[in-house]
Amino acid sequence: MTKTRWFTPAVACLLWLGGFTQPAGAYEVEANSAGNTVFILVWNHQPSATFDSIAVGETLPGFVTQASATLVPASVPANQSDLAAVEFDVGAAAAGSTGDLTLVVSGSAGGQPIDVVLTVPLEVVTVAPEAQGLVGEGIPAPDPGGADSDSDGITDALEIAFGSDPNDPLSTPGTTLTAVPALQALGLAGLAALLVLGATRLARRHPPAQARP
Amino acid sequence: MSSRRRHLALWCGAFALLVTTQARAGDPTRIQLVAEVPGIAVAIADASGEITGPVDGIATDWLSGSSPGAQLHLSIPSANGTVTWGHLDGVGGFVAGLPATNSEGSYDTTPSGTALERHYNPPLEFDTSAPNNAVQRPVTLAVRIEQVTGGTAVLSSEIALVKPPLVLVHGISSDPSSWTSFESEFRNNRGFKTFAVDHSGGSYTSGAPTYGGNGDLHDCYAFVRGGMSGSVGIREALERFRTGHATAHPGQKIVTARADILGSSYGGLCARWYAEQASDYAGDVRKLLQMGAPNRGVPAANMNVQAVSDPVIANASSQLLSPIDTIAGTLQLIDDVGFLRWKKGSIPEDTVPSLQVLTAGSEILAQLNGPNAFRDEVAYGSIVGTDDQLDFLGLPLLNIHYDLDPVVSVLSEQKSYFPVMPILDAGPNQSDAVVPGWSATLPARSADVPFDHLGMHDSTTVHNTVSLWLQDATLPRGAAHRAAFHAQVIDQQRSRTNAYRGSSLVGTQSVGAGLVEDAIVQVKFSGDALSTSGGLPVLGSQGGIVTATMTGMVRVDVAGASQLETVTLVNDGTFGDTALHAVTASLDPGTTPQGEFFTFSIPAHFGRDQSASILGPDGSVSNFVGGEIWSVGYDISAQPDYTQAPWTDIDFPAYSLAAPFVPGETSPFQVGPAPGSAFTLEGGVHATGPGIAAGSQSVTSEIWEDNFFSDTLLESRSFGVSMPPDAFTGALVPYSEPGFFLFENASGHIEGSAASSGESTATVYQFLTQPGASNPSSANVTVTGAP
Repeated sequence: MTKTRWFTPAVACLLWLGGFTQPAGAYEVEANSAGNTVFILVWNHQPSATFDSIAVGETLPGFVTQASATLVPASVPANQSDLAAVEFDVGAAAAGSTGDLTLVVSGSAGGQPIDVVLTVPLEVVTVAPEAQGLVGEGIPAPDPGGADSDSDGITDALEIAFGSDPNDPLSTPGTTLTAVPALQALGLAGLAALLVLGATRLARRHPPAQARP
Repeated sequence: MSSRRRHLALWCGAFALLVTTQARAGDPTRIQLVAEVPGIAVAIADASGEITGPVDGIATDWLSGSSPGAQLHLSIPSANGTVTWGHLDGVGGFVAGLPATNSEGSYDTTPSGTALERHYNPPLEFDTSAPNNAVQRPVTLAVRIEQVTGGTAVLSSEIALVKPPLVLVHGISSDPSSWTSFESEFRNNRGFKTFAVDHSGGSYTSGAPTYGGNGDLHDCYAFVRGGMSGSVGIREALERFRTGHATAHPGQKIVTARADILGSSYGGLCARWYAEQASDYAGDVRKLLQMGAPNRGVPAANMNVQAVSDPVIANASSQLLSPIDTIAGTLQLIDDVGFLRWKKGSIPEDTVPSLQVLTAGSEILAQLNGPNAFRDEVAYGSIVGTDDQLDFLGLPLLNIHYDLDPVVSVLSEQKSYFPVMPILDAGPNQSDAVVPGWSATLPARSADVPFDHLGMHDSTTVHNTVSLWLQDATLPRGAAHRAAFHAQVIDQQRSRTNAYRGSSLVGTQSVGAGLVEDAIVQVKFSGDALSTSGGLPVLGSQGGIVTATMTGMVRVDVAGASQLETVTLVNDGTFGDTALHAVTASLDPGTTPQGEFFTFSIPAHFGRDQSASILGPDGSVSNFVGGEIWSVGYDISAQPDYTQAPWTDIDFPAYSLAAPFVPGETSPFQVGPAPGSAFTLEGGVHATGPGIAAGSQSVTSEIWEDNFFSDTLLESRSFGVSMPPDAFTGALVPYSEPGFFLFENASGHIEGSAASSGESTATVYQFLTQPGASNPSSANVTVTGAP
């Protein structure tokens, strides 16, 4: 059991790390695939202003034949979050083709326009993962009025779907992403050592690997 | 093929089909990301602190070079990532920085140097590509934060670019109503916010210091500055922009540091004085445009000022109403109808300060145009009218330099006291009928327009020029104007600066302008023998040598060299003029350059004889019928003959020799015993030649008793008459010889040293014996013995 307890979170973290190293490179998509989805957790840090008048715009790479927002929240209250989604289709493209899908979440807070630009680098591969990015358990779905156990502005359901701990206000989607590029630079060997040393703590912050879809 | 093989083949085909199908339709993927809306906002404030709190826009009140205007302070409280300041393009995309063309303005780092702040400077003009009639133009300023947690946040804020306030300054004897149509055009069709200064005092007849829009520059500039009750100046215009006043951009707080000015006529000088000379200048002028502004004065103002103090000019006829009215009367008429205020009020000696300022050569204009002329941080332009006839009753009729030319009418002939006045206007199409082009022009940037002084406000051409210049980043600034203005060569044949006596400053008021006396083309009489009757100078029967001072202007032949000119005093004759005295004089032009005019003053002489003829050293005109009013003028040999003086009249009453008299007593004279009473004999003696030494002209004067058959000589004496050096042959020279005694003898008869009259009441007269002329007798007076 001891080995299992050590091994399980380590593998989970390596898997997790493997998933999060992709943004530094590209997200993989398959040619001729329809119904690809980008789920965007719109997190409004404004202390008192609702983020409203929201729209989602797209700029497509050549091999993406169409994209459209399928889910746009009307507004996101101050210090809260909600879910937006964009579906896109990939046309015929040779493996190895790359391009950026740019998504702009536009809105205004306190009357001042605020755009959040997400650049999504894509690469056409033969077989793409089912889910990439800030992936937790389950497919994200809007959760208006849902429970927010740690009061960090993200409902428990969305935290779970985006892979953060719904009970730890310091664990939020994307928080650990900031460390990824730096860790990459250190090299996988050093990273592995760090992960081993931190396995116990990481195990507490991430679900077991077998729980991932 | 066996059944098993067929089944295998079918399965293989199905598998191949499945593989093929799977190759064409890929599986979708799911990507999960976070878009963090930062918890900050861009704060946009007035960098100067004049406006507290957020602002809505900024006036484009900068000039190229180091001439800053309004500035915005942009800030974000914090940023979780790299900060880049920029703007949004036409489709809402973030663009780092601002276009290098300055079309949208520019950013400066703040003194703190932090990336969280920027200063925003508006573009140099509202629209740097072309004149733009819009009221506002939006610019979206933005800041991009490349968040370390992923995603890039762009915070933006739209601000309004507006044109600076346009402050309008009216001219003399005017008020803000002169801008009514101009304001309508610029507010409704050209996107400007206009504010009309009122330095009239609120009424045409207002007193000091405005005098109905005629205050001194020391006074009128304050209304341009602002802070004056009842008037909107620059200060108020800026405040209205900053507070969202209804007359500015309603409800919008616009950061504004400077205003543009358009000054009409004298208003252009009031504006210049504020921007260039006032000690309390607030640095709040960006562009200063003029419209018919007399930067170098209006020479006709010298004549106007002269008219209140000099009877020659005041009583001269004006071309406009000659011979009906005088210059003074015409000016008064103009004043009465409110067209031009020229006197302060009931004190005729005082001209309104503005006309004193506007005189050519005035001290205040010299100061305005001196070393500190044209402020470097201000851009200038001048619109110059070239229609030299003001419309009157719909017809182009009036030009102040022609129509107020002081003239004298003799029969059908007019002669001017100031013949250069009409050409001070600079000639056809060289003035706006009031201000000569050479006075209104700013060489570094001027535009001629075919309108008169009063026709520019409503001219579309002028509107276009003003609108263009107010959005023209190349409009020259003060340094360029100063250099060009000081290098400007004024044609002195058109300005005649030697002719003017400019006003000087007494305290802060300009006083004492007019014309140089010598420049007034006239003959002025002087001499001890002159008296005045009915407004005319009189040369009586005793005669005397009259000095006729001939004044005027003559052109310099060679700079720095004295030049000989012959000026001839003439008498106006029915069939031709008679030369009385031709004087050839050496005139000193001083420092007047070649080709320009300088003033002269040359004395000539004339006198009379016993027949009331007028005569000078060189000729005479006889009169045998009694008294005469003679008209005297002069001709000058110089060319062009600008200086043919108008006729000046002098009265020569009919000749009579004075009767004997006792000073202090009246006829009949009562005389006592010897020595009796001392009678004085007076009269004029005929000079036999010029330069006769004193005492050498010997005459004999006698007292005779008038008898029916034979008169009796009572008293006789020969004496010398002092001849003045300018006496000439034929002129009567006065004498007054006392000490002729008559007394009552023991018989009660009137007696002199020569004989007794044999009468107790004697009728006596003077008899003059003189060389070279007839010997006249006086009228009789009665002498009796004392009771």
